[in-house]
Amino acid sequence: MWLTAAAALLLGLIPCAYVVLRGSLMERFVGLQMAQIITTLALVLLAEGYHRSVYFDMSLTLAVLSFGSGLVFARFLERWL
Amino acid sequence: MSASQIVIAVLLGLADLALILSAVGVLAMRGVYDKLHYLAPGGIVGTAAILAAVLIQGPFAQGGVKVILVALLLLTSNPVLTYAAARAAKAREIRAEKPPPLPRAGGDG
Repeated sequence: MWLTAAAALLLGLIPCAYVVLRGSLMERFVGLQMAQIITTLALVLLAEGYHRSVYFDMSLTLAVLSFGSGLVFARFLERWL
Repeated sequence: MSASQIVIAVLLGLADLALILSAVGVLAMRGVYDKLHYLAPGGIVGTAAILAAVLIQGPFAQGGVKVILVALLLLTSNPVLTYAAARAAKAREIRAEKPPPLPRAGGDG
């Protein structure tokens, strides 16, 4: 059930990939943020599906890094790019 | 299938639906500001539903505390990043409209 939900959730990456490939610069950033949310939650579902508590560390790491990288991207897009 | 399994299945279905519809919304909307709106439903509803499903499955087992941390991080970072993205988009628009400063006339001496 968990793995099925994770597989279904990963289908949400297809529209995000299209936005990242074809959108304007800021639209690509929005697509990236959506993809990061989906991937983080998919990792949580996979960790629960495989019953490995260490896999939760990956989702936690991705959540932290996506927040930091999002802020860095936003600052660079605001001022320099 | 026990009652808790049914509840978990419903919650996972709700989370998947919210996130996939949000992704489709990001694709379908025109313009950055409209796309930014669609980060919220998936990020909030999807995160909360998955957190509830994991906690129902086994409270504080199999990394339940870590999932709570992930959910808290996603729920707090989502609006912050949405605001930062909107601010960056507006700053770029203002910069694009404003002409670049002219070089100063006269030099040294």
